[in-house]
Amino acid sequence: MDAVQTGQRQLKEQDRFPTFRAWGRLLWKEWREGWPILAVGVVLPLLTLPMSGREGWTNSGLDYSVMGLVGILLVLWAADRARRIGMDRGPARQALPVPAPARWIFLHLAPLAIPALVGAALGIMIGAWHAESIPLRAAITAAVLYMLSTFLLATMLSPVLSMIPALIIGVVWLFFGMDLVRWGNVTPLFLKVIVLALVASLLWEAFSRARWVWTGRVVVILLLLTAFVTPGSLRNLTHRPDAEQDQSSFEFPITHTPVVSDDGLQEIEFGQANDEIFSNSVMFYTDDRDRTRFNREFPYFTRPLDYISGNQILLGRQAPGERVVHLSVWDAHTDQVREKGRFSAVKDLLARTVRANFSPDGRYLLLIVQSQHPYSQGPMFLGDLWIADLAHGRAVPVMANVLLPDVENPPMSWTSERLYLSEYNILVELRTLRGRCLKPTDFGRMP
Amino acid sequence: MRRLFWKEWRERRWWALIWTLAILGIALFGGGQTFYGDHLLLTSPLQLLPLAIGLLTGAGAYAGELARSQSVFSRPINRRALLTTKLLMAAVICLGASLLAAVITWCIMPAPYRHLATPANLLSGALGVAAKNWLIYLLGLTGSVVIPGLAGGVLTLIAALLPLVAVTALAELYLPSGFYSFSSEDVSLHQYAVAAGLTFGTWLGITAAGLSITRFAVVLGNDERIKRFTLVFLPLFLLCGLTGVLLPEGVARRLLLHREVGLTYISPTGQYAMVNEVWRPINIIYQPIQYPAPYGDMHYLVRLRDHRHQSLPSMGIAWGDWNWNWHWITDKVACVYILGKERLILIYPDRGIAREVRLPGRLTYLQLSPSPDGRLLPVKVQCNREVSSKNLPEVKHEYYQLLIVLDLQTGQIRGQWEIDNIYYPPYIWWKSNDMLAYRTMKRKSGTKYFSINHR
Repeated sequence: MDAVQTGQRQLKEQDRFPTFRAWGRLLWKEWREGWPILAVGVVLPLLTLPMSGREGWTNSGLDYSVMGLVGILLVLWAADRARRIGMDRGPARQALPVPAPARWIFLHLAPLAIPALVGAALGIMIGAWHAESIPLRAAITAAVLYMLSTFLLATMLSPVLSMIPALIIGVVWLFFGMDLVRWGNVTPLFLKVIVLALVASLLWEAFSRARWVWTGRVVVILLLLTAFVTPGSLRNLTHRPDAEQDQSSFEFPITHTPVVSDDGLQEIEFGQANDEIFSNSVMFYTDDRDRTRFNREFPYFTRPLDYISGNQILLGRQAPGERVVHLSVWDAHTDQVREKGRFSAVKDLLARTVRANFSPDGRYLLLIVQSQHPYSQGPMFLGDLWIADLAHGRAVPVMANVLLPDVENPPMSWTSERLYLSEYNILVELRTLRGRCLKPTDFGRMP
Repeated sequence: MRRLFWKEWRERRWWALIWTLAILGIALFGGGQTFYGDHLLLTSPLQLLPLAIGLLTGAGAYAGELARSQSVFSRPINRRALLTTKLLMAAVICLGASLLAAVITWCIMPAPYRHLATPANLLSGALGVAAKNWLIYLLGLTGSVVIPGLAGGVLTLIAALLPLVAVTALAELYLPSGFYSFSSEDVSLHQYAVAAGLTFGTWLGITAAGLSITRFAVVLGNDERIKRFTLVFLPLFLLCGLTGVLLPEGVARRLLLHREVGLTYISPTGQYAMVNEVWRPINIIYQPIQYPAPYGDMHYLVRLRDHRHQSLPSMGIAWGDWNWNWHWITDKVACVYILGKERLILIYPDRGIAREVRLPGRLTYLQLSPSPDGRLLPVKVQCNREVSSKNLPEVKHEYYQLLIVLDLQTGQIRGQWEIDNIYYPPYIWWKSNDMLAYRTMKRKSGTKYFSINHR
């Protein structure tokens, strides 16, 4: 009987909101658990400051490494402290004799000072390391919000999905946000994640009390996904590409980036003559030397590739579904067109071509083609290098998925046997049609 | 051993699955040219994801055991077998995932690309991915033997690396400049050999310290383990790191460094090359974290026909300026120019000389195509002059644009004209060997022609 009464008394005590003394103890507990994270998270970024202004360190990746390490530690701590009671584990936070609201406050809100201070230290580090691209105040704001969102995400997910998924999602978010935080203009996204994480944790409290675990999980995940849904992305779902064309069809639709000569004096704009799918291509050629303009229609899917010499422009045509590419040369001033040759490649090669260059002897054509690798859609340009051998009428890729810093005007040197792409450090053997990176042995013994 | 494998699999299968998926995902979609042979380094934070998960998997390897109330160490288990199991398990995951990625890549790539993905390229790509991930797992594992729990493993690693970062930073800041330098551009071979030795020693040290604990201290209580780590193993680790500094320079250079081509500029018809070479530490040191920075660089000219080398004159040009401001005008003349400076340098590889050209203003545009006979080069500069007016008490400065024609043989200025174009490009082109055409900004004025007097 005594035991029952004691148990009932304890339950009643649990329902009471904690006293000032209990608040103090809970705060002390948070401090005892969190101070190593705070110490490491603040000291490590600040330690890198002496190296920030030094040129050789700028691209060393030390800032990324520190941000990653500190972030991982924060995610680990967050996911671990919020984990559920499981087998083979010590008592978890749910076992604390405090009512649910106080537990929620001390789980989510009380320790926020730690990620905020860690974020501030990281912000100072980012501001110092990337002073040219982001002001210090913006860097601190972005980094504080970034760390708060990371912490709250892992804290919220740990009881919902268990510790390991929370860790993984937290780490993925960490690496997703790492590039964003350097630009400092992603505050709305971080804020959205913070708010949604707090709302989701409150919802989870309600669902788990009602023992609707799976419903709660689905609701929480869906809620989190809304952070990445923007009005723009919703518009994209219902986007009809033909709608835009309708609006611009009253004039000649220039649909492609113009091809400009190296000296900027010649330019070709091109597009389709009208809205029909297989309408002819129209080239608009402007010569700034004598302010002349020419235009001419060509069969559909013709596009300019390169300036050969004087007023001569190399054109390529590849119809959809066809592997053969037809080459022709257009002399804009005399309006003469002559066939140059053709070669067999893959479908849609010309549609992906961003730069072409003819060898001086006219036998080979280099095509820099946007890679089909998904990474190429991101901030970096991954290209495939193709060489067309006009004597044999074939084209082959000589290198694939090459990171190309400059596709507008890369220096190229053709010899009778080789093509050098200087800035890419690439050498193509024209006899074997194989490409490779340049090696020190290509230049003999070092002096 | 089989039972240990089974235990390891049961306990770590979720980590294994997630790690496998991360390796597969990045090898297939984020690795750029992993399986196509030669490639340029592609760096992105997302590529660190499988490595981060590998580090966490490793950091939980022993720390997880230590955190359990029923520890595996309370049973009569061969500790070496336990360690072997953990390492083998990771090796199977890394190798399996990367080989699977290679096979998937080969299966889904379009037929014309198949000749690039040779078995050797596929295998070396897969081995590279696997080695990187396994090494980072090893790093995590060696950090996991001190403090229980996953967070304890990561904290141990940070605690081990923190003094090293501090020592490295302090060494660079306060030691005599000739002794140690991690970052400065004109480092000597000795300096980057030392730096590479330090890094290599760090790898060796952390592995040795961690693995020693699995042999000698893992069954002790938490306090004792932390004490030994701090007093014995951490100094051991730091000492191992510092032994790299004591490696003889020649040995360090031969063992730990290799040369790589940083940047090249080949002359228009492939006769000469300006080569920038860098020393890099061997891959095993930096590959796990894809560290892109080189340790030093050298520039020289090479005649490609017979590989005859020439060193470049210093001419007061900063280290980085050789790299991005070099341009071949013809096969016989190259120039190094920096926009905004009042000079440019002409280099004649066949004569082995360099010539500095002083400009009357700050360089704003360099026409990169010379005259048809290759003798003249147009340059646009911005000058400023004093303008005084009766109405204004003080003298004002006014900027104006000057078009200059340089004689590429002598470096002398052969003509200069004030032009009204402030934009890029200024629309200049060669009408003949001695006639330069310029399109003015004013529509009515049209094109102007400047005649160059050949002397």
